[in-house]
Amino acid sequence: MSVKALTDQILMRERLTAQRLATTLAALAILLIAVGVFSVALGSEHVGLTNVIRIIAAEITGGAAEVSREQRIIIADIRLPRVLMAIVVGAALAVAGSAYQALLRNPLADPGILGISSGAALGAISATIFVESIAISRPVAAFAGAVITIAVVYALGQGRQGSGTERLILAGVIINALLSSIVIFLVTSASGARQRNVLSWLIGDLSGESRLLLPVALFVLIGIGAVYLNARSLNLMMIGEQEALTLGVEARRVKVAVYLAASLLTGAAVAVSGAIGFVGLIIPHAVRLVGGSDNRLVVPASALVGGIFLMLADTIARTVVAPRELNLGVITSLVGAPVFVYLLRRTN
Amino acid sequence: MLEARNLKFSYTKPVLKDVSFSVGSGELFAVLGPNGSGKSTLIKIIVGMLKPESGTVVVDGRNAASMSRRETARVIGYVAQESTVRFPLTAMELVLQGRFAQGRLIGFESERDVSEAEWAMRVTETIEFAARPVTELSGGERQRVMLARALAVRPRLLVLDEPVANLDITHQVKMLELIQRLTIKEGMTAIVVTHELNLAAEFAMSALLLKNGDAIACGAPREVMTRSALRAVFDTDLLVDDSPVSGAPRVTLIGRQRSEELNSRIEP
Amino acid sequence: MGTLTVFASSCSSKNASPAAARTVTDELGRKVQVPAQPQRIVSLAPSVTEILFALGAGDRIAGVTSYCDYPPEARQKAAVGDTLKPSVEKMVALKADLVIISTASQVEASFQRLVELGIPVYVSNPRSIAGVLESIDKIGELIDVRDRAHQLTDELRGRIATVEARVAETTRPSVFVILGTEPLITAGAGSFINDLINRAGARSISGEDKGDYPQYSIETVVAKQPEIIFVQAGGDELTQRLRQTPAARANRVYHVDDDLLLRPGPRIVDGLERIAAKIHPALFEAGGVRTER
Repeated sequence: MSVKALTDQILMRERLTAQRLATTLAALAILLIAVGVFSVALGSEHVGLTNVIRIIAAEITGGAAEVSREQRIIIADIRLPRVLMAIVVGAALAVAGSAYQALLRNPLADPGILGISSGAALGAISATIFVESIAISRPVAAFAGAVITIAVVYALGQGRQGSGTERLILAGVIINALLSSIVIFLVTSASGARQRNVLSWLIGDLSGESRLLLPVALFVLIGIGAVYLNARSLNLMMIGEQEALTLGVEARRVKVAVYLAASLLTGAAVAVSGAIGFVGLIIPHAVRLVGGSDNRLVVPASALVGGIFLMLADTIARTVVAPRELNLGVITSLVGAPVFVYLLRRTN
Repeated sequence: MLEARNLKFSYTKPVLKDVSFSVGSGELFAVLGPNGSGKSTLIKIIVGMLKPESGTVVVDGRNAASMSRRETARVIGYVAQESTVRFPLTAMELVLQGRFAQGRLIGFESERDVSEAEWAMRVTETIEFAARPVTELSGGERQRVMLARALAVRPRLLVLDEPVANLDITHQVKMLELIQRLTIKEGMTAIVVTHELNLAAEFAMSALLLKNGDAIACGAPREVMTRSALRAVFDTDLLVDDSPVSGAPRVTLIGRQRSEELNSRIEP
Repeated sequence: MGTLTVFASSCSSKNASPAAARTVTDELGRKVQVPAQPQRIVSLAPSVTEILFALGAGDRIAGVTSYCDYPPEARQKAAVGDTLKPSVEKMVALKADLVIISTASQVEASFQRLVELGIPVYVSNPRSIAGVLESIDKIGELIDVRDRAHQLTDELRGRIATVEARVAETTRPSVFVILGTEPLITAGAGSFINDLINRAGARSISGEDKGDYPQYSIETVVAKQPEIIFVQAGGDELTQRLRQTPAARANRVYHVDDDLLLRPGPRIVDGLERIAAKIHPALFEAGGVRTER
């Protein structure tokens, strides 16, 4: 298939068809793998691309690659888990963003802007401080924090005339500020050695928690699956909840399921990577711009594009000032903040 | 087609106090009344958004309370007063949403779904912008797309909440002609809430007049839209005579000052 | 820093015969398996780098942090990043056979990763001047230069004793040490800096405070009336706000080189001598103690 034929297939048409969805997702999946190999190949130490592919192949097949021990450790034990984590976290944040946007009927909704990430961070930090010994307690506490926060923000954002964009974002900003100060209070009262690590984690960091990769990937798969099952209902919900009801959508059930799934995604992402801003905002928007607004496309495509984006951002974070590292959140915010301003101006 | 029996509903104070009426099959039925008279609440109960405190709604011989959401959705098509669409779905994608209750929860629309949507868009003259994002359409165009979405359901009952409120007079007339055509040619029943008394008189086969949650009158426009009834309901003076074209009641609104002059002339 | 093609130039692992491993206990009480004679050491703290060089093991250092600037030769070593987020893959590429970190420079996150990858990590944890000497001895043992370490610590111990002898009979003025200005951070009872002040013949106004590095308000400092203040270079604006203290009125606010005060390595004794000379100028004027090295 030529590039033109492929883009013709992918670009938005009258409606989303199963074939267009399949082509788009397949193209994105190939891109994800290509960017994945590229990201694994890049780093402060040079490892040739052929060796990289050999090592990855050996990891998958369980065989042994003919490379030095150091190269194997760098690729298989250090970079690969980190790149996989970037995919998982990027996918989680982007799908959470698309879910919140559809539920709140607001293309500017994002787990960071709505304060949900801060809620998850507060949960995760409380878990770190109070029940440190249990590794899985952090994702679970982050999930609880996210659920409580979205409930409060939604309640506060509800005016007499339903929930307006500005009112909701304002509620998010206020809750965000409140939660951030509680987080800072907890961090400053933590003992010295732990403090800087928590701070670094807060800004966004994928270098740590590789042992949480599997459970978190499982959480994220469940979350994305739950959102996808409701994608068609969300198409109707994002036009209007009441009208969706009259067209046969079990609006309350969809709402509860998707809020929980999106909070699970946010919680899982925040628990391992801290608060990485703007991914949930810009990725679904980019997908809609190219492929249209049907959530049956937006949800899975956002997962793939979110993974690709965060992989690239993390590769930049760990290579530009190598062997030192930039914080990942710094990169996503540098890209995301201008895009947010552009969107805000456009939707007005 | 539709029968409402002793409907009661209250938020903090009663909004509907024992309202009963019936709508015949294939009728264009107008619901009239001032703001706060209970029109919107009544509509929400009919389409199943609200449950009445007491009383029943019978649609097509079946008690609405016993129907599932998807069953109701296959019978009733609803167009809300105003929809703000913030996501650039295409007009076709929006209209296809009307097929939700016919399809599976996940998966894609069938050939039949697409042909029904195309039919609905032809009827509403929206087919030419099927591929355009609804966010780029004018108010009138978007309203017709929302009507097409309700029609794609292939409903037996169409419920419209102020369908002409934001339209200019050309589009108001077009919209009501379209609804009328649907009742005549497709045998649909239509319930239309409106403030446009003259349009209602011209197009509706019957009308319900509501005030403070009470049904004041129900029947043919000629019987319902009398000067005394309308004066009492709307709390303002008006003149009702016959349209020289159709013979339907014609309502002329009058200011307070004119009203005194008029009353001294015609009421000795 | 660009990418380094370490693999092309380094010899394969066959040549470096894996020396018999032994188990040591580090300063946090952890058991660590280390090679008998570590040859590719990565130091993740400036103080550790200084200790390694002072022990003549400079040529066995494979990597240091970007903060390791003393002795000047340390700058020639490969950098593995800063102390907060050193590059684990860089350490693997350098074939590190021992990584030494210090609780004075916190590196918990990468610490976990290194342990998972099977790279031995030794944690040094000096809490006092004596602890610094002990740490030097233990690192000496760790890298198999025990005698050299004893020699160094004996010399340092001698210099410490000299200072202590001079200030033994004198009055002990109250001192305030400023380690950070925004916010105001000082040294508490648990830090080696507090020990240093005591040995220099003074007492710290924060010497009774729990915690290693407590935060202070200006009010507290003024209320506690320190007679001498030590501040790092650039703290002038702060000194203005502390002018109500006896130290400022007597013009006894001194700048100190933080590297001498904050790094628990051999140069901490230089720091002790400098501080003691500032606190008791009369006792040290005669000379005899090296205040410059």
